[in-house]
Amino acid sequence: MSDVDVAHTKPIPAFYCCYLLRSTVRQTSLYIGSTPHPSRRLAQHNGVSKGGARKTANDKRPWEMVLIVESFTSRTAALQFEWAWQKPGKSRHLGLLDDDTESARGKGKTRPRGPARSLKGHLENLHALLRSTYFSSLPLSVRFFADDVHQLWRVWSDRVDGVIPEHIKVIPDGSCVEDQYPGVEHARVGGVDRIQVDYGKIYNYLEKAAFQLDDPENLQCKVCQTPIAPKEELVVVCPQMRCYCVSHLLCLSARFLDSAKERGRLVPISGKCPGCHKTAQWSLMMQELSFRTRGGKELQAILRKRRRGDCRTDIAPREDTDDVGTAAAEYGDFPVSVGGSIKGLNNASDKSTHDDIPLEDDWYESLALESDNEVDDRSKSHSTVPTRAEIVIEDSDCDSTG
Amino acid sequence: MSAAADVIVLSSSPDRITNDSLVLPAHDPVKLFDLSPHSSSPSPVRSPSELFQPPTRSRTFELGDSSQSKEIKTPNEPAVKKANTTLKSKSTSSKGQPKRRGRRPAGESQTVLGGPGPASVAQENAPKKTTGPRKKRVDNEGKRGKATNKTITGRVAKSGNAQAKSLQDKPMDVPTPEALLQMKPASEAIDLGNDDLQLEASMKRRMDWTPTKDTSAQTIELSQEGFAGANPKSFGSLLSEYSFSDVSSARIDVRNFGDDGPTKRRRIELVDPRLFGSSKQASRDIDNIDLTKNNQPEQPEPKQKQKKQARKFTTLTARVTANYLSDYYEGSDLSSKETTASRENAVTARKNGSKSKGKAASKPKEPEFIVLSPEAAARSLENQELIFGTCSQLEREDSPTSLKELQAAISESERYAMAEPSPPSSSICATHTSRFTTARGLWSVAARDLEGSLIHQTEVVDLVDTPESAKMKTSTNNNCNEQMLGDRAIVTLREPLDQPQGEAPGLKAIPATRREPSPAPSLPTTKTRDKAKEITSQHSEPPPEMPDYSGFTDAELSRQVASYGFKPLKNRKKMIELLQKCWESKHGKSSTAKTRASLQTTAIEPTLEHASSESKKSQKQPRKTTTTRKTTTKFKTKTDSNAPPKTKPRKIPSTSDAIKALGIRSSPAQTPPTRSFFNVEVIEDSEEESLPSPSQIQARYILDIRPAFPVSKPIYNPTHLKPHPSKSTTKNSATLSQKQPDLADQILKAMHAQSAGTPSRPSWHEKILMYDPIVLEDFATWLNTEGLGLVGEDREVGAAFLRKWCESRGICCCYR
Repeated sequence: MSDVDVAHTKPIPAFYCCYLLRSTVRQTSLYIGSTPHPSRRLAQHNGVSKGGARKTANDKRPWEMVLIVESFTSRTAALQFEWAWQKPGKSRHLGLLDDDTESARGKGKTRPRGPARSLKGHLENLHALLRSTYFSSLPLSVRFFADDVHQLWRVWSDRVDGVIPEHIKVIPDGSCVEDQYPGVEHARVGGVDRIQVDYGKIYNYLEKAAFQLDDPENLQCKVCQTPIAPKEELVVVCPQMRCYCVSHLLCLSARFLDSAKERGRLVPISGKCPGCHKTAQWSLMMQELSFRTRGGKELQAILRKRRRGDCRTDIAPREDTDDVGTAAAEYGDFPVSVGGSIKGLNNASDKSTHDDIPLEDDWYESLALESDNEVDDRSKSHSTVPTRAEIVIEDSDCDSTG
Repeated sequence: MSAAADVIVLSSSPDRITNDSLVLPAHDPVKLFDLSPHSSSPSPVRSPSELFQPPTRSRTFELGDSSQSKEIKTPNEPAVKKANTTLKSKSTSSKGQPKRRGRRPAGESQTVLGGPGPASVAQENAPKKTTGPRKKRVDNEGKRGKATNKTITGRVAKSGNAQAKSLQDKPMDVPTPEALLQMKPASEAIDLGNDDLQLEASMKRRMDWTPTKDTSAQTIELSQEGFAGANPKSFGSLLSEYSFSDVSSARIDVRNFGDDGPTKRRRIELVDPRLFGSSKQASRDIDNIDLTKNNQPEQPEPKQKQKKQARKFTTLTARVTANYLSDYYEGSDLSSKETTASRENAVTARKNGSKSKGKAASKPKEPEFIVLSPEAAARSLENQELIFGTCSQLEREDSPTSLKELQAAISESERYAMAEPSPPSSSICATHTSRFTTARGLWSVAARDLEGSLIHQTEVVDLVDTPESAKMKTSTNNNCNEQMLGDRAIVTLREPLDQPQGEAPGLKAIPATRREPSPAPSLPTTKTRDKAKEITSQHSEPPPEMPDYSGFTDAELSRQVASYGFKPLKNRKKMIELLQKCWESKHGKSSTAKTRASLQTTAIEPTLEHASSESKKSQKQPRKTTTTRKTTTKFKTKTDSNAPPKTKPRKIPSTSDAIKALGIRSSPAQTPPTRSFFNVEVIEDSEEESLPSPSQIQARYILDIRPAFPVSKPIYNPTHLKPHPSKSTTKNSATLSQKQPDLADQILKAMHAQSAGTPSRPSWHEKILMYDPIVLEDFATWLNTEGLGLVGEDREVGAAFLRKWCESRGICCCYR
């Protein structure tokens, strides 16, 4: 065990993406950035709201997000991806340096790249990055909001030698023609401002897990068949609302990896739940797990809210949650973690879109009730967990394009 | 009294003298004795136009000659005393009497009509003594102010008196037509309003003429005369006289201004003369003070310090009592200000005169030279620095070649920066490059020339050619010392150097630190040629390079000590000792170099070519120019004896730009070669420390760069570090290739071997599974301390290796 202070580790962000910005005035002006909140960031770029957007504060406004690479599992990963995308010539994930390593597999051809100036160049670099060893294993997805960019992307994807790993989904959204990927329609959100950037999509999942793990008596790891102590072990709960499968993190990962063909992979992409045998996204489960173990007060607030919500509207959320589970399982072969949950929980999250962390109308009440409800180990253990202020992830404001 | 006054008058205004001489015999002998018989006539002629002239000039009246002013002061003093005495004696009619004093002179002028002698004398006295007397007058006013009520009443009483006087005087006026002609303005004033108009005019004049206050002394004298000869003088006459006196003073002032080109330089010089002048003034002022103790706050005349004190007094007390004594204080303040201004003007005039006239003027200054008190010296130096910088710039601008030189220096520096080894064949470029090249070699070796001379020397040489040298030259030209003075060529040479140094206080201070051979010339005080000569003689003497610190003032010593990085010591002896030690430690080598240089110069003297050949030894092609420089410097050392003849021939052979520039400047050409080597060095030092010339800056830059190169290597090493890690990684990879499955797998195994963690403390494997960014350092630490031990692995892993390991597996990782 390392001595790393766990209290400072953050849960997997609800949303983090890298985006490609294009000026609607001058189409050749591009900008690469990253943000946990695309719509807010776009407003900053366009000067609608305050915030660092120095490089885009010029006559090229307004800007549009033509594509985003989303579902980064950490801010670090997003920033690394952004940096590599902005500076392909310097990135070890694109250049010759990759070849030096004995394990240069995910990559196609390696060529020295200068900073890309054109849209095509950016797309090429993006393609190469998604094929790179480092980023190809991340549970990413690409979402296009501009059809022309998407077309260009398709053309390039056909031409280039390498193939983007299957788990990285390309979602044509916004103005893109919908028939490109038949199984992805429900992943569409329609626009940058519709992207759900909070944990709302896993509220039900969180609630279910919390409820299920609340009573540790009968819990058994589905994999190793040993009792589970949720407070002392990292336990993964099946995202399916009606599946009560619980398993150790290590056990489930080992099973998933075993079921997967890939060798040498440490982190599974997805796997079939040993209980319900439905495909579960590893990233989704990890998001839930990390937030459950590190969410702190935010988690408590959500759970409390959900509990009251259950009392009031018992049926509707249930249905939604079911949908979420099934949807996630049914999306093609490699559903994106965000998947259909976006739609299902849009209602709940709309209220709190102003912030990364959803706060319902009765937020204050929940705070007041907090002391009463749960003074268990979990809350104690997470008492030091950073508050929501810390969870807010800063936008990077780097600029590679002129 | 009278004799002294006469002398003064003559110096200030010759015209008057002639007139006076004519008039004087006619007048009463008694008056003649008391009052200098000088020109009454000149003042009236100019009076109408001059009356309007600004008061400031009148203040500067003293300027004409420092000596004159001094003389004037001395004669005035007794007059002042008399005046005071008279004031005191007049206690009964105290109110009216002081006024009478002021006005009486005018009355005297009228009386002159009757008896031309006394009136003229009075007038003469007034203009001559303007500064001193005015001040006194102010004092008188201040006295009046003290007895505020008295002043008002006194005026009235005076008017009555004046009328009486005027009546008496009028008959007197009639007899002499000449006086009438001369005195027309005065007579007019008298006629217009013996009583009424005069008062108005006087009020206006008071308002307009701030300087009149200074003339108090004059008035006093006049009053004395009046007492002795004829008190009865009309109020108007008094007024007219005031005007006359002002006119004369104003005129003198104008003259002074014309002489002075309002260059900042002069100011620099001013500082020293000021101090001197102040001391002189102080002497006379002191007398006045004694006489007029009553007036204490009022007297601006005493030394500047005293003035300042007086001001402070006024400020302190005035603020408290301003409401009550506003009039009095104002008068005093104004007077003090005026006096200061006048003194300044005087100083400037002196300076100007010295500069403008050339060094010849400086000779009279010599006696003036006084060892400054440390405080005064420090002050002057401090004040001068800024001025110096500007002066230098101005001079540069003046010099026609400055631009060229600047450009050349810039281009040269650029080349140097480019690190182009080959110096262009062109003379200019060659010169610059040559020195630079030499410098490189020196730096690499031990900051010395191949010849063994210090870098400083080379730099110094450069300076000569560089724009700064041009400055020097220009300055010399401006002074036209050579032309003006038949003095030794050496002297002239030195003077230019000295003067600029003197002008630039900052230079002085700094150069003093390093002045090896000739500290004295650089000193500001050395302006006097005598000193310069002495210095030169010293210089001519084989290099006793150590500056004579014992001859330094405390301030200078302290500065030099500070320049060496020590705190100034209070003990003078200790300071000197310390300086000597420092100098020895610093310049012991240089001295040898200098001696070499001198030797070389002797050898080189016949022709520059020789020098070039010699220089070639150490330096490459460009050296010729450098050699020329060296020769110049060397010559300097020799200069005293041989300088003039040698310099000329050298000029001819020298092909360097400097020579060209010299040629352009007709006279200065000689100067550069003659300049003493030491002086040059001094300049260099000063510049280095204070105001580096562009060329120097560049040189420094270059120099800095050079040392940087070795530094850069280590820098590269860190850059190499990347390769090194890569190498290490490669090594690791090599090891991996051999044992790689082992190590990479070992890490995996170790990771798997780790027991499952808790939600708060996940194991590494769990962290990876949870997409936690892996902190490589921590991971490596764990692996090396625990993880690898779990699987029996003895090897250790580095963060770089782990990075590869993580990235190859798509594990998000980062450095802490």
